[in-house]
Amino acid sequence: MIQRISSHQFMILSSGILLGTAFLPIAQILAAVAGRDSWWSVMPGYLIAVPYGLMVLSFMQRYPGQNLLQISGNVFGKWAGKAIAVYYILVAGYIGALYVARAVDTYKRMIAPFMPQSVYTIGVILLVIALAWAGIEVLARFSEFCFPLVVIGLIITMLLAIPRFEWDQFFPVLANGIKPVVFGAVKTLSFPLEYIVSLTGLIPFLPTAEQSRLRSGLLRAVVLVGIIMTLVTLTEIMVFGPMEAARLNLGILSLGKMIEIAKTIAGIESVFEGLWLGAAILKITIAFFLVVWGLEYIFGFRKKFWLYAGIGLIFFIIAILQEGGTQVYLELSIAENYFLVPFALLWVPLLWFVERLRRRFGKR
Amino acid sequence: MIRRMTCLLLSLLILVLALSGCWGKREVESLGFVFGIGIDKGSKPGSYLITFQIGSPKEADEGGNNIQDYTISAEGSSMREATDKIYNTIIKHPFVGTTKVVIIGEELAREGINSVLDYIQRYYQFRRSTYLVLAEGSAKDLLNIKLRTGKLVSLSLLDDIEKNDWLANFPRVRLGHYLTELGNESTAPVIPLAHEIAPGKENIQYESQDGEEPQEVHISGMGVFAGDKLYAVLGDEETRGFMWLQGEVKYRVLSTKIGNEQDNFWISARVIKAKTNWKLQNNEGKPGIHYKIGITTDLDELSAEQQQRSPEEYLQFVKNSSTAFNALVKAECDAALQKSYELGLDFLGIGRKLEQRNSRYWKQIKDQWQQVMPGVPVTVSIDNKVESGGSSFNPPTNPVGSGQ
Repeated sequence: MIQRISSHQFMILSSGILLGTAFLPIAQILAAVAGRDSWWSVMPGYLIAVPYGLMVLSFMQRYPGQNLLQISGNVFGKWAGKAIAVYYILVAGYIGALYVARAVDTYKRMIAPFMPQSVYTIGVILLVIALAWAGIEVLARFSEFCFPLVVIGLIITMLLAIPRFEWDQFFPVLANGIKPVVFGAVKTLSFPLEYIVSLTGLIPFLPTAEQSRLRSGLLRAVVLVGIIMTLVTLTEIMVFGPMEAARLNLGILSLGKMIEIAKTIAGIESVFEGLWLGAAILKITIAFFLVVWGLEYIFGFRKKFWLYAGIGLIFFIIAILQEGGTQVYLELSIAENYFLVPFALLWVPLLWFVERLRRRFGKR
Repeated sequence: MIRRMTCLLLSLLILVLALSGCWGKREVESLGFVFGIGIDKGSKPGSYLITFQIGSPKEADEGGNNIQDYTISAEGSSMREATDKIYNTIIKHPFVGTTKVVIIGEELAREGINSVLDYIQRYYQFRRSTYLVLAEGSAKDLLNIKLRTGKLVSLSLLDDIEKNDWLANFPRVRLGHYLTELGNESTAPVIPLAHEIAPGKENIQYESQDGEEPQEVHISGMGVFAGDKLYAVLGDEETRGFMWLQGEVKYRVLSTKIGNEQDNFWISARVIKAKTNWKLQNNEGKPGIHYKIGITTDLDELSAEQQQRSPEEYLQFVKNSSTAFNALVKAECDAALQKSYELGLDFLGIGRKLEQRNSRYWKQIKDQWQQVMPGVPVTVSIDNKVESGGSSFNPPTNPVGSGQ
């Protein structure tokens, strides 16, 4: 029997995937493009998830129990569907493995530098395999636990950073016009579009009859995460200024390192790092699921332990081969900006458009 | 079933996090907590002389102070190499996450400090909240001073910095703030200056246990940087002016002469509230800055001619005398502005203020900022209010005609 998640769980899971670990690099990525005004870019970038998400959800009623790969097979033809699935597996798998490498790098860099990369990578991957094996419903519950904690962690970090604000860093506003903001919004696209790709695999697990709740859940998730990301970016700009924000590779962790409470409590970034790892696990598990669903579609596999172990092994190999955080950063930006973003930007609207055309001409 | 599975996986997550922290662990007794780091130019070109000031808990049976401290220096061609020499020399493993103050030697500062700051901002144990201080002379010599109180110099400097809220004599510069300031293209960064006080120096007298050797340190004045090189050292008056114009004065003590030149009458007060506002103001078509400094004071000392005054007369007298505070603050602000023009370095952030409020104009002038800066009209107005006149209307006086 197919597992289902409730519309509330869908909203939290969507928020968790949208938030993911994007709060780690977002200010750096945007400040490099849009400088002081980078925080303006976040919401317009994230809002793209709304029309794309609605397009994906619109398939649910006409193709119940099918993910977008299966629907692509129905609409574009079997081989086109399988070709899409191959690309989908490669992109999702590679990005998922790079997320493992980034989680490990972040943790090692800030908290446990002496721990071998392999030990931590194995720990993360075993956890991801266990989560994936337990199914989407457990992942949804996991997100219900982790997401609020991650948000609380971020809010506390931002609030405690207020005494470190350099208030003059806010001005001037839009001194270089709207163009850098637009470029910044384009740079943001990878985060919401990663969520859209995840959603393409999630739809069979959603309650088909609750379309309006799912739609409002989608909107709420996008707006909520958009606001959080805007605040994270703004906080980093206010504390570090645009140049420093663009120079720091994990600004939010540097922010954590500046926080001291009453001269006695410091180093709280280690605590929040634990929470943030939950978000990373969530995102890696979704990528893991995408690979599983892709393989299931191409080869018709059922749930097999060796399949999960094999994917885990591939994730491990890719992650362990990365030579440090900078390489992971570069690889991720290439994979996301050049392989995932154009794919998601084209695939979903094209499928939606062709499917409507086919319906209009009675070719379903 | 699903709830149990979720709990199990969450427990696994916690285990992954918690147990991994044990890898490469060091017991707290084996650590030497670094409170201050001094960085000087080494004897060879491009090398550094690093001084660590370390405190570590004593064993319970050692008696005396609970903290055992020592200061040790090592030279290396890089910050890391010099640090590692210290690691290899002492029994305890230095933990630099507790570093409160980084002191940079004057000679090194004149050659540029970005390269030394790289290690401090990159190495994961350091915190961006660490304070930066310049040493007059060598940082090593400063850190090796044996204070009369027995306190470590770095901790004494930390006290100085933290109590500076009440004195506002110098800016507090954290590593994070300094790095942020580097991103402001027109603003010259500043770092406060620490120096030793030998007995009798700067009108401070004390009995030194080592003859004439200094046993006190304090911070006053600040260094102004051109790029990453120390360019000039500002005196007390200019630094105080900087503090007013930056709006960094919360509390302070004002003390100034009043009355005729030949009289030796003084008025002193505590600033209990201060606020500096600034706005862009066109002066003959030229955008400039107008600072408005609002001060509220409590009168602490008023020496004047011995004369009984009624409360009304006293009130008027205080009002008249307190205008001297305005002149004092104005003179400090003017000194800072003058120094900025003289050096051609915008350590007051005037360019940044123009950028904030009139970015279009700023874009036109920013490339010639150093030449344009002295021509930008900057005005300062001070509004001082004496809130409390103290516990008496008049100075102590003898009855009229008895011994005056």
